[in-house]
Amino acid sequence: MLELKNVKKSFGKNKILKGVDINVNKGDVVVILGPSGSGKTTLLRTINFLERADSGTMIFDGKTYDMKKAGKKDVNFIRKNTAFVFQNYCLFNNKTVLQNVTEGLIVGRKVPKAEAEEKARAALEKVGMLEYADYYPSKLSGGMQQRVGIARAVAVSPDIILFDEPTSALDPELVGDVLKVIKKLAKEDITMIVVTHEMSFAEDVANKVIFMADGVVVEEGTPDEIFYRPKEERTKQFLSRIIPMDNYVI
Amino acid sequence: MRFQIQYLFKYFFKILPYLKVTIEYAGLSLLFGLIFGSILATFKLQKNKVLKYFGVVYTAIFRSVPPVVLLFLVYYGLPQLVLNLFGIDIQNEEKILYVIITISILSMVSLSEVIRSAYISIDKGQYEAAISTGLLPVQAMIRIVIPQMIYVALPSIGNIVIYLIKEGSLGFTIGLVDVFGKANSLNQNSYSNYILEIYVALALIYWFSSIILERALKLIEKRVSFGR
Amino acid sequence: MKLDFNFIRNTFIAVLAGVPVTFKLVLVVLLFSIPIGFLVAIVRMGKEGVLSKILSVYVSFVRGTPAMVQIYLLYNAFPVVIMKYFQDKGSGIDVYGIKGLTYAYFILSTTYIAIMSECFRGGLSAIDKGQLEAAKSVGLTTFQGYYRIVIPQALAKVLPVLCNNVTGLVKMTSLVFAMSVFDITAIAKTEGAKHTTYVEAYLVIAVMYITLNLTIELIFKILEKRVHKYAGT
Repeated sequence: MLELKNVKKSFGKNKILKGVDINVNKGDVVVILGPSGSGKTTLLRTINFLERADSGTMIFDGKTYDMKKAGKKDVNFIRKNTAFVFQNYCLFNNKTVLQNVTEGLIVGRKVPKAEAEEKARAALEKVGMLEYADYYPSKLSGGMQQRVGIARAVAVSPDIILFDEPTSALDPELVGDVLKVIKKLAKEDITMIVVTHEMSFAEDVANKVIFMADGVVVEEGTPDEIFYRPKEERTKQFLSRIIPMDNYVI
Repeated sequence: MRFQIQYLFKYFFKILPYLKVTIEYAGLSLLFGLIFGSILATFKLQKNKVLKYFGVVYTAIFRSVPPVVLLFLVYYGLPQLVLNLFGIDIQNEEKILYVIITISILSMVSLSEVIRSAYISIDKGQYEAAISTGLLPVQAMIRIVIPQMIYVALPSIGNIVIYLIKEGSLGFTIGLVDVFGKANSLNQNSYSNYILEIYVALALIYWFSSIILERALKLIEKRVSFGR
Repeated sequence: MKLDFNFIRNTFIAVLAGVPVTFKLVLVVLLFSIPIGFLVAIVRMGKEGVLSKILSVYVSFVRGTPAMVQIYLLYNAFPVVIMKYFQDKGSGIDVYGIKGLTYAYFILSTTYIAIMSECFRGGLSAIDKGQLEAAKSVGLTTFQGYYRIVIPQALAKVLPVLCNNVTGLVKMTSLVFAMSVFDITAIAKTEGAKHTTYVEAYLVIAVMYITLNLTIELIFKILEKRVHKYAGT
């Protein structure tokens, strides 16, 4: 469903992405792992053009896009068919929880209000936040806000949901609730790309793991392959710092 | 001390109607200030050096000039300038025009700073989340970013309004008949017999106006606060 | 637009006589209003006493009325009444003998004590109470706590507002012409009236005020950079 070819991006003199290729099929749950500065967040943000890649090709739903030169119409089209969940939730502070979820439907996709609210409430129900529909974000905890952020993404029925370190900004006790919600979505066959540090989550839920470092894809495979039988030295290096040694077989 | 309360009341109500003039120039100046101040703010936020420096220099100049001096410059200088540039003779225009122009320039400069810092204070993620969910950039600005900017900027805008009213009082120096101008003429006509009553009444009118404005501002803040 | 450069030069020379007056006004008023304003701020932040309430009313009045109105009240209106009062009583205090400059110092100071107190109040209240508590718990006295910990941090927050206030004061001195004080604005007025070369005259002092205020802002920017490290969150 989504293919990225040779994506490059520099910020000034810093080369963040040095030619990245990835391939995502419908229903995949892809987890991207890697050390800080590996470019994983930047890669995610080039998909819905929050960052403009310096070069690269994207094939989405059969159509090819030049990631540098894509025009406003194409960009807006991609954004209407994808959804993004932010590390800092970024809920609209001046809108209620319900309004946050309906905004993309009503204003972005011209869905009639009644229908939008129905979809919104269904999405909120799914993440367990329906009773907070009329609250303003400032009154909610981080975990609650993030769940609303996920509802906001789900409600628009996107082809693919992009998660940018969804639990990194949360208190440890709130992380579990959010991961539960994401696991639920994974079981429903929704296509997702998740940038995260949560290893056990990756193992549980992903059907493909991509390991990135220094702006390139180092290795990719099933969670089993990556976590227990990594081929590349760099991958082993990264994992050894995070997973206790006796957990994997060389 | 000969201070007669009944005259205080009498003059209070004689001067009060002229508050209308004050509201007129303050209101119009606020409007122009918001419009041109926004434009000036966008200049200062540009990466384009020409526009940015223009904005910064313009602001620096008009923030450093005393309002009286600017008023005199506008009053004496503008007719000449306009005559030379456009051939229009504005000498017979009403005095309030010069006050409005002066106060508009002052408000535009202050407001541009307020707008600029309000814009910067809004987390970029708000805009990004809005466009990620399919909103057009314009929609994202109008529906998500600007409403939040208003909340941040409101106290400063309130201060600026009070400032506009106070500086506008200098209009009497060019003969404008607002509350101050009226107080002066009332005083002259009564041979300074009630000078204290008149000017105390004037001071009270200004003081009460500023208190009312502050209360109104607090009410508006509550409306725009989105649960904070 | 025709600007007569001779007039500009002549006005500039005439106006120079007013520069010391403007400077004196600014410096004396700052000298009074900063320490007294600071004291007022502390009183208002303390217990809710009668003094605190009176000061609040005073600050509200000063900030809610135009400076020119305050000048007319104190310079024009009050003396008339006080003269009548003293005449009735037969005492010989010559209110009109008090120079305009004295009134100017007094009126500008009363306004600026109020403005400075608001500025300091904002700075002090922005500092977390925990700072003082932490200071006390490591053994500092209250005075040391304020002097060594709280005030340096408050300073970082106060400097930008202070800069605004000082430039505001410079601009406010332009009003003293209403008290027959010959600062640069007053002189420009008379020079302008001589040959109706108003634009040239006011242009000269506009440039002078702009130069003065921009210099002040520059100085404060340098100070702000120095104090920046104390700022904290």
